[in-house]
Amino acid sequence: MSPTNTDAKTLARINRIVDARKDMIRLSLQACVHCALCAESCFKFRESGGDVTCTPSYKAINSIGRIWRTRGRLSDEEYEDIRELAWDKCVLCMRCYCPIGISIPSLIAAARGACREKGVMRSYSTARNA
Amino acid sequence: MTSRISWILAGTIAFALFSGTAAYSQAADANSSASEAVSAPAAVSAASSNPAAHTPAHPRAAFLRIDLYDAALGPLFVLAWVLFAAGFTRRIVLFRSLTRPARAGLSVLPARSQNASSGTVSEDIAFLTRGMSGRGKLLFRLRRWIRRTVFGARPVIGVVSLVFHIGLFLVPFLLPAHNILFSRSTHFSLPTIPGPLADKLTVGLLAAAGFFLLRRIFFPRVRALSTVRDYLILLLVAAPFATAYMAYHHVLDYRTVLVTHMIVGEIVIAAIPFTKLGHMPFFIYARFFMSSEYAWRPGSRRW
Repeated sequence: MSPTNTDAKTLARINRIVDARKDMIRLSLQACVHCALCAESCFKFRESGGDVTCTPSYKAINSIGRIWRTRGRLSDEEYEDIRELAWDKCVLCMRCYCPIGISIPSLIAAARGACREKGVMRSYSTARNA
Repeated sequence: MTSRISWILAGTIAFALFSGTAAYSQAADANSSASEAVSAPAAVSAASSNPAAHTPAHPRAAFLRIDLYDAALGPLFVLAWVLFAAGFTRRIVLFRSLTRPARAGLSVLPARSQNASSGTVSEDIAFLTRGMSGRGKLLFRLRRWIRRTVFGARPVIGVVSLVFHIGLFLVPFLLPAHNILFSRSTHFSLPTIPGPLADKLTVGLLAAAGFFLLRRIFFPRVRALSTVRDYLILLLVAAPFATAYMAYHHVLDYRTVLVTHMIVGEIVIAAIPFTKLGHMPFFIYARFFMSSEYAWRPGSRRW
């Protein structure tokens, strides 16, 4: 695993965000059967011509799922990957649907919240960021 | 955490296979020792019906074998269902505590909008089906309903999944052999389906499981999501049905297959609330009480 670059204070803030939603996150991650039936409900998935990393469940599992499992102890590059998933590949349009009723936008919103505590977020100051 | 659960799953499967093979070797021991005096089929039936018949020759082995079968039939069965009930209840309580009644719906609109929208759908259908026969109207409604469910959104996976889950629920509960065991201990039994039909449903279930496995391997989007646990859980669910099929058709040693079937089945029952099989309670909510493309009867949350 690559070295983490997050101080204890930031980790505590990240974990406060995650812990406030821990039952929802745990239940959702446990209930997801990785069936990928949510793929077609995502316009990013359709527009990218079937980019598997745009599958809603992939985005949720690899953003909040990774933060949840490691308690936020991820390297900067990993946070950068999560930024790409949670902001560039998801616009939180809330149109994705899950056959067993998992609220995928809630999971991605939680991932965004945790990333913001780390200072990783979408920046609108530069012209090219997407 | 993921790897730990994978190890637990792998361990339980290995334990089930090991206990199955242990039972097999012991059955073979008992068989060979008894076959000196009588013919082999008689020895098998004697060994299964009367444990005292061969205990002097192989006391420890016989004790283990009988113990395993009886344990799977009695305490392990009860333990599996207790674990299932506890975990299942906990999941439902957790789920309900995490959700709120849906605020969207006609009732939140002003009275004028409510009046404007009420009855619109049925009026639309009446307009579209005017001049049709009664059968035509029924078909139109049926087609419209199907199009708005999972069968319209994803027909193949919808049908395969339905076959898989029907087999999963009907066969274990309505199998004649299971109900005989059940009525022996509780003097109560469920209605049964004929054995050959259960056999066909089992084959359908195993074929659907094979489809899911191939889909997981060859569909990039599913493959990207798959972990070791997904493959293990699919194998774990299919294992009791595969062993049941082998027992029904007397493939390999009957008793070994049966003990393996019982133990694997109990592992699956106990594992439901603690693994991905825990999506079971959400079926009712997601299909009947939430508005979604995959619902069977769209509705809104009221809890």
